[in-house]
Amino acid sequence: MTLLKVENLSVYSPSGELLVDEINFSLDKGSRIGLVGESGSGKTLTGLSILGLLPPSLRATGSVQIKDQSERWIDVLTTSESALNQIRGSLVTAVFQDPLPSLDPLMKVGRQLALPISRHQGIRGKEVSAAVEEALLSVKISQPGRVARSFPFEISGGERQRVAIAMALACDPSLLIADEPTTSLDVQVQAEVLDLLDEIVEKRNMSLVFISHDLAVVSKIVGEVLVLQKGRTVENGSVGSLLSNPINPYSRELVASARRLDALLDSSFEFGDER
Amino acid sequence: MTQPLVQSVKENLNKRLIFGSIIVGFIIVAGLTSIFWTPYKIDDTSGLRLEPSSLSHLLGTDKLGRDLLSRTMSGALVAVEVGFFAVLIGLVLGLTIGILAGYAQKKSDDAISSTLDILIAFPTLLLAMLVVTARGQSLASAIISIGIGISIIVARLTRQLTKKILATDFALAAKLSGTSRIRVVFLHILPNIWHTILVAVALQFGLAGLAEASLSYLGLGAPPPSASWGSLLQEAQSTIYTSPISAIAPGLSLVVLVIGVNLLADGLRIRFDPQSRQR
Amino acid sequence: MTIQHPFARYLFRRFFVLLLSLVIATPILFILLRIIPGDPSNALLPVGATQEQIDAARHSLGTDVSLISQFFTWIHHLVTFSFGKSLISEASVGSEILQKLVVTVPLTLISFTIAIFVALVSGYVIAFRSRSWYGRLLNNVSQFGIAIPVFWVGLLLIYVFSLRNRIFPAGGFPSEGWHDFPNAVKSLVLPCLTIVLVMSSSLTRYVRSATLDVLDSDYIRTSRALGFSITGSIWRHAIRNAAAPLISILAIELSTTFVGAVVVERVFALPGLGSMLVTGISEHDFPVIQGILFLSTVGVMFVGFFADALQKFLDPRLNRYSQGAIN
Repeated sequence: MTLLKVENLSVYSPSGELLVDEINFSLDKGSRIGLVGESGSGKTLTGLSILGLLPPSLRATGSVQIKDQSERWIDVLTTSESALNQIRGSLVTAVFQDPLPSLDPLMKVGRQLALPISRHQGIRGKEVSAAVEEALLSVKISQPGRVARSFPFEISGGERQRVAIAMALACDPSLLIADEPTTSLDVQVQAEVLDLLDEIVEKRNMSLVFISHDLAVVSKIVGEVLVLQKGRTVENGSVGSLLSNPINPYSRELVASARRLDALLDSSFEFGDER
Repeated sequence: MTQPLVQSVKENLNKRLIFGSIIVGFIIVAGLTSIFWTPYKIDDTSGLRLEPSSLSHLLGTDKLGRDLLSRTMSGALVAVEVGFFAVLIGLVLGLTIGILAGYAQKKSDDAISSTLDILIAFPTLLLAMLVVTARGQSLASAIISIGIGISIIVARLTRQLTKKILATDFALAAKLSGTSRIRVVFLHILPNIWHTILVAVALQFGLAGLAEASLSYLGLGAPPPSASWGSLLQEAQSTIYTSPISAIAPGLSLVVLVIGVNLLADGLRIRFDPQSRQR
Repeated sequence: MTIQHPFARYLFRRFFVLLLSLVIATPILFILLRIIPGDPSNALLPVGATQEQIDAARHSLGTDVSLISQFFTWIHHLVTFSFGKSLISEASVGSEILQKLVVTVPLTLISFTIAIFVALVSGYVIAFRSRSWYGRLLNNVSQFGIAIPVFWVGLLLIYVFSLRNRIFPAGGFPSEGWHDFPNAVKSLVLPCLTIVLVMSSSLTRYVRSATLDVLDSDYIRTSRALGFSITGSIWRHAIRNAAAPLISILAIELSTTFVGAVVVERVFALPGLGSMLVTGISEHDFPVIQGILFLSTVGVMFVGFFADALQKFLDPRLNRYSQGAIN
């Protein structure tokens, strides 16, 4: 059953430059897709288009359709802002790259997490703080009390990204856009957060659009990928066939660098074991 | 539909620079001309008193019968002089302090930057009053105090930019390869910060004229016969009812100068950093 | 002594910096005012005065003793708040300043408060409605406003509202002061309007760019991705985040407003601190100049202290004047 259809999506800059060029893909309920490419490949803009959060100076054409709870197709690009507010959160939401600026720097984590929780679950007062604690536990934060009472700058990068994930999950969305969710984290934490995302998406039967410049990371969490370069799809298919037989020269390069990184990581872990 | 957008942005960018340059250039030329030639001598009282504008006196005359066009031109010279020399003092002092602070280690850097933080809040006009009291009333006093005010702004900016550049890899590489600090300043720091500093200083050029005018208006600027726009306005206050033009001409000149300088600075900023257009 | 609470510790350190800068600034101010060309007693003397007259004048000024003892005399004047005696009127500078504050303080604070309100509304409108006609109009007006000298605005207002149409007085303040309340208010309307017009323009520019910064921020995007409306997101997150950087600017702009008041008092012939200072400078009345400039310095430093404290309270990330200054 299809949940998301992206058809001929193009995005133009204010000066008319083509930033995303005719991208097509679709996603079934509970399935996952990866968007891979370097910065400037248009992968983040594609993610923002699905959320209807493109900067107002950019212009998008084509269609991005999401099926809502009552099985109606909604075109994000043409729907009004107020209708989009109903879709965002409950149907589709996102986890962004850098959790520090993505959280309000002057609001304590607990209050921030309480905002989507009380809105989507319609609860107030004591119930909310219980729900906040539960949400923090569900993303495997071991000291929910301390984290809830902290400002974002007072907790670790891994904890911040877990909080961002908890905020996204609070709305119980059918589709999650994860835009480089682990890039700003160090390797060990990266693996933990990736495992957490994998587990949660699996358990809740959510669909996932995973955006990354790193094929090695993408291959651990999705089965199907779209390789983007300068706004164009240069290759798509399963991760397996891409890794074993990349057709496009750019994909070949990506695969080679992913292998190098993997080898490097493996060897560094071995060193760690020896010590 | 997308192509004209590009053009309009480009056109706009040039427009600000061009309009700003024309306005500022016009005022500079008017001021410089007044050194060699003005329609009448600025202290020539041969005209009728408070004459309205006519062919022989385009802007009319003041209460002593002096030609207002000549005096307004001469006021342009004062504004340009103050702007130029105050900015010069501000640049030399500010760059020196800023670069030193940028290189300074934690404690001394803290001391310099908190001093600058306090000084920045101290209004230039009060500083100018202090200098005028200490040195006596003169154009030089005005220039020195306004220059010091500008130097504080330049110093803060320079310190910040210097720190940023010293933290980059190429500055580290230069240090490791044994390049002397003075060479680093001239090879890496100044070439990388001059455009940001230029934009800031360009803005100050107009504000310097404004500050001098306030001082002269209060009667604390250059003493007569020097005709600053501020002192022209002060003289015009008592006759504004009968001769509004005597208050409008110098005031408007001042506004036009500041707007011209702002346009120029904005144009420069966009030129150097096209991304900032959206701000 | 150890102070536990981090904010209290910050206040304590910041207050120490305040005191330290006062201790440094006081002698600097003193020395700067002593390096005058010529002898301040000249102002008191007729041309061709005899040596006895000169000595008497120096004695009455207190300049016949060493600089060090002059400095300590001044410190004594400072701590007793008398600030010495005016050379011209021979009245205590301290009590004269107190009298003048009755005009200057209301003028500064009322104008500043109104200017902030005007700027908040217009800066917000410019940031959000940059494409509408009123957004553009406000934008252009505020850009024009920062280029206008405050005394010229005053002159034009006098021309329009006092000379052409006799709505408000062209200057002066009732001799009974605030006891003649209606006339006191009336005489402050144009001066306040003058300052508001100029100050709100520059404040509008700051509010606009602070608002735009927040609008561009990632946390607003996060909030919207969770289904909150733009307006709701802004109410919830933007105000506090935009307020913190605005406060340090407001502190500086308050001093600017004070200077604006000094100039405007001259335009409208108001008997305030500004008129007293300007007259003092042109009459070489040292104790007056010294006293007012010292008080202004103290004022600027205290405003800076309160601004830093408020900012730190609003934004716990800031750690100036304690371990690891940011930026």
